[in-house]
Amino acid sequence: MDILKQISESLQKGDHEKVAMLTSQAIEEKIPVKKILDEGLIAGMNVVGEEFKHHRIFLPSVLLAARAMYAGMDLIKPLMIRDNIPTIGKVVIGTIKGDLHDIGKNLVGIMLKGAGFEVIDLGNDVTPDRFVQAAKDEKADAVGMSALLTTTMTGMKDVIELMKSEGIYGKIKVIIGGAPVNREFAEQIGADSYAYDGMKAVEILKEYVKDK
Amino acid sequence: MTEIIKFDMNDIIPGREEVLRNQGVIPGAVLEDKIRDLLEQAIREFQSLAEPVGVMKEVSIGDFKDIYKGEGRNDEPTPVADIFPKADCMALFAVTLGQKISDKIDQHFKANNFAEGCMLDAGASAGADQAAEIMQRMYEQEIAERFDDFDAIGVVRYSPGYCGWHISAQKKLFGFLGPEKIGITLRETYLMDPLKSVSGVIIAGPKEIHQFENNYPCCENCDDQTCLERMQALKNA
Ligand code: B12
Repeated sequence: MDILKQISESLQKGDHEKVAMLTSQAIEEKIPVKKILDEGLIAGMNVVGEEFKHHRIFLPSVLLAARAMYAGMDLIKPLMIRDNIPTIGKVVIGTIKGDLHDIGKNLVGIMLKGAGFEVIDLGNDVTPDRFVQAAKDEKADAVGMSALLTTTMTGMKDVIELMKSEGIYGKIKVIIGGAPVNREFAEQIGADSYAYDGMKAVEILKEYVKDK
Repeated sequence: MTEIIKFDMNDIIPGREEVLRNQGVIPGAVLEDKIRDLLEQAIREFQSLAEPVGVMKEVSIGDFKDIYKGEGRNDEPTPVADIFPKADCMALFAVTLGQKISDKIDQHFKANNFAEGCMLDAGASAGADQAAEIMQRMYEQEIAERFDDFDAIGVVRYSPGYCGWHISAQKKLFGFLGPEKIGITLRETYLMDPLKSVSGVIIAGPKEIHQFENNYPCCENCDDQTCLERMQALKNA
């Protein structure tokens, strides 16, 4: 079987050791890095995403596949940097100031990385300053914010206000999520979009970077 | 009197079905062995890392009125506002699983062990809820002898942040109960630290007082069925 197909299939099974081994082998065989990424790793994650969407597999299996994807990514990332190969987009994510809940944000980050985005994860309890500074420094395409409570989600507006005063609002997209957040709230605070989960976030952000 | 409660680990080990359900796994779904292994690993980690502890203090209806009011940000009306004045007795409570379990979840994510992290997170959330459930049962046992016909009494817990009771009421609840004694602190955003903590009031009174129609303002955009399930369970009990 073609090695890229083997990478994709091992990834779908969540076999991270095999994915790492096959990715090393593909690099040694001088298969272009972009091809390993698109036709091996991302192709595998796409299948996993579809299976998940249709409830044929559940979250734990997706997460095992994601670990396998990261195992491959760790090996090709230095080569992508060396060869100046861009990712499909860059997203800065974090949980809002005053909030410690980051499992939802983590899952979104994993899904985005699985779809080929570069993700800068700022962690939790992130101040507006840190969001905006990272978005500028990293030349991000989007900022993603997460919150657990109605009292912490209000901090998202502060980030948007700071983005406005720093002149990056409208240039860098804002996507928000978390249990108490909804579409109306996103509109109210001027976020570009709201996503119910990681899959939806991938869909929306792919659309944003389509014409890049 | 304020009571500090240490739990028996066996009482709060989360149910396996619930841990899976918290991650969107449909009950009864056929699972691969490796998912079962992850589940068992999470249960073992839960047992070794959770440091469950609770605090409980009885409160009069008069004192609770002010605690309930909190910062004046509640919906009007709410189920709790209609229920508590009819109570026979009640107690404030807070429980936590401690920080170690959250640190472990974090470590799993940092090491790219996402499935392990998520399984433990789902287990810890279920465990925190279970600890709150145990608190409720303890209070139930404690007050049983005060009633001639305890079968007619319903004991149910309610939490700030749910059903129109604004989460900012946490401030007065903390002021009265003092969960700092068991290591829970409240942030300005009313978030409790450690994360896997639950607070609220346990209300005991005639079973009927806990039954309500779900046509309060807070019910409008809520699709959580827990209240309906709890009311049904109380009717059947
Ligand atoms: C599990 C849970 C708990 C657990 C632990 C919390 C935790 N997560 O660690 C326990 C039992 C301890 C708990 C406690 C409390 N909880 Co609670 N809890 C929940 C519950 C049921 C699920 C949250 C969760 O972990 N989901 C799993 C993760 C993976 O999902 P997620 O974070 O939502 O993330 C997904 C999406 O939202 C989205 N997403 C998330 N972030 C982002 C970011 C971006 C950029 C995008 C695009 C998408 C996105 O994608 C993620 C993946 O699918 C929610 C209700 C619900 N259905 O969501 C209530 C909920 C969050 N809790 C609530 C409340 C009120 C509380 C308490 C205050 C109750 C109390 N008085 O004790 C405490 C507070 C705890 C604290 N430390 O202060 C309220 C909050 C509403 C409010 N009023 O603010 C909720 C919404 C329930 C409700 N009332 O409807 N809770």
